Amino acid sequence: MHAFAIWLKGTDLSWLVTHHGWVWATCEALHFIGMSILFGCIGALDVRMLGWWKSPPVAGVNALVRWGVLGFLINLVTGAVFFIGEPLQYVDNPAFRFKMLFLVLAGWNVLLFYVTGVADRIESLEPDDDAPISAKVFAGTSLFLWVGVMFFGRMLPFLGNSF
Amino acid sequence: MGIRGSSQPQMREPESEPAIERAIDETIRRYFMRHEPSPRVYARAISTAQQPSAAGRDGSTLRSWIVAAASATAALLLVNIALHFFGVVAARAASDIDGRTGPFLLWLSSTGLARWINESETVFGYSGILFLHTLGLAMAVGASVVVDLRMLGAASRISVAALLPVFRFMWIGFILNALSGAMLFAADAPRKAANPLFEFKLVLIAVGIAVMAMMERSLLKSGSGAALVGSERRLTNLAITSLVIWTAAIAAGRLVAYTL
Amino acid sequence: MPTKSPERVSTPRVTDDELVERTLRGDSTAFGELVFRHGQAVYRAALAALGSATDAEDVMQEAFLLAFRKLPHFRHDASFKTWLLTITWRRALRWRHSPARRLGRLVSLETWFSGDLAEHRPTPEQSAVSEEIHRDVLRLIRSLPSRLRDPLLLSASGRYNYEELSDILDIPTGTVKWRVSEARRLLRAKLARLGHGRSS
Repeated sequence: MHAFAIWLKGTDLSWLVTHHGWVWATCEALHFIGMSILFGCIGALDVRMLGWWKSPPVAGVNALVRWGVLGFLINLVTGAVFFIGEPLQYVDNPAFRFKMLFLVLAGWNVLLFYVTGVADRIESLEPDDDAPISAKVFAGTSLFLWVGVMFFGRMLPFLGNSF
Repeated sequence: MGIRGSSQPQMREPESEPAIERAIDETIRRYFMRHEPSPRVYARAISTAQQPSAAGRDGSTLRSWIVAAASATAALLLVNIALHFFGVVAARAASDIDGRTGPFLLWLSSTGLARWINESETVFGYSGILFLHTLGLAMAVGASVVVDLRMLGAASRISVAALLPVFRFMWIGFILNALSGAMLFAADAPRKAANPLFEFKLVLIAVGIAVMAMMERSLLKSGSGAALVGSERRLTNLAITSLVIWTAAIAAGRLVAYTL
Repeated sequence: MPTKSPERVSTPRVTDDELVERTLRGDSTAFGELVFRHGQAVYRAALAALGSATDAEDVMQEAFLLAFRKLPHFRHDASFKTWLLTITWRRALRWRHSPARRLGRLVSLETWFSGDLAEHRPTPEQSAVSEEIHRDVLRLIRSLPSRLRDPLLLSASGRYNYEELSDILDIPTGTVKWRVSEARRLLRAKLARLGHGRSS
């Protein structure tokens, strides 16, 4: 992995990313924007299931998820740009590894949510209906994991080698 | 049989013309029969008409105060930025940075709190507060995005009244960021205060909050469970403005680190 | 049929105009009766425009609210029903063109007008017509340009004469007639190309 990072750092693409100052800054801004969109939309669904926001029907909130996916894609792309630009900053960084771990777990959480059929069960909930316990577990885990992703992202400069 | 140009193997007799007509009619008829509006929609249609726009309960006084304070600060900062740009203060600042930023900011950054924030190695120090700041941002902007998306037509099954509790999350995020931001500022006061971009970010945030507060008041006034009619264009414009402002605020926030 | 609420004014021969008058005078149950009478027509008109049951419900609610607010301005030159449906239609069109809805549909996983006819049990006398043709018809309707599809579906959504359709759609009567028949002609032609019926 480390060797891959070294190789990546030597590529033209990597040089491009770091050479133009505006690339990194723009991607940073986009990364935060994508995070906000993601957290807002996915968080909305989680919060609905946890019962902190009961007024809409779940199907309505579900329609927001696709925008959350958009936010995620923005971050995937900008994240890739960061990694390509400075792979050595990330590859040995424990905060980065935890961030990726939490990300993968969050993905797993979503997958399980659909595969176990809980997603279908909550689809038809009307306003003020309470979600089943299984849905609440998924929602709580999701919130925890995404906040974790955010946390370790913030810790990147502090826990790893100097930025 | 007489069907020319058909690429499908003949599995059945070609339908006669009247049968085609019947099929078209039947398909359409079935389509309309498949769905009926639920009784709930009837009930809501009746009830919203029976409750003419109730004078919705006014936004809490606390929020009004926050918006007022933010607007006043924003106005002050704008003036300050303008002065920066027009070089009025720049010359003096260059020679007398301590004098201009004043003893207050110096004192602030030397307080126990500020020193602790800066030097603490634990996760509760600078990095932790920074995390909380990010979290608050995600909450505030995330909630705003949800409201704005709905105003622009996405997720239309969420009734507009159901949107009101979302604002609560926005306010929580904002307060979290105001507090964490204050602490971050305290830890680095002189440099931040001298950075016009930082002040600009604060201005943008104040405007963003004001826009969201306007939307919230609009939704409160529109009555319960009703779709908005008259104010729709205004709300759409506010939603677009809000998205733009938050994007700019985030960009400004990121750039502050580069111009420090 | 929707469950009747106890406050329903159930004298069937009170006219719509009379109910409008009562509503304006402050009778809160009169409007409810109007909702019951025309709810289905409003809903189906919205469905014809939008193709989505949930959107149609939302537009239905908005349409009635709009009608209620505009009631003082209702000039009794057209029938209340036509006036109401015109409001509905315009609202549905606004909804259709909202920017986020357009974007949302691009990324959306739902198919517009998704017709899973297997869900709906056909009445016995109709099962003679094959399911395959229904699927094809529905798909082809969806592919029609909206200026042909709208009159076709709206005319089928209820019993309307061409004058009423012309008022609701805001196009001349002759154009409505032409578009409906043109829509059907196109459907027949496309169906023929798929192997149903004779190609003309």
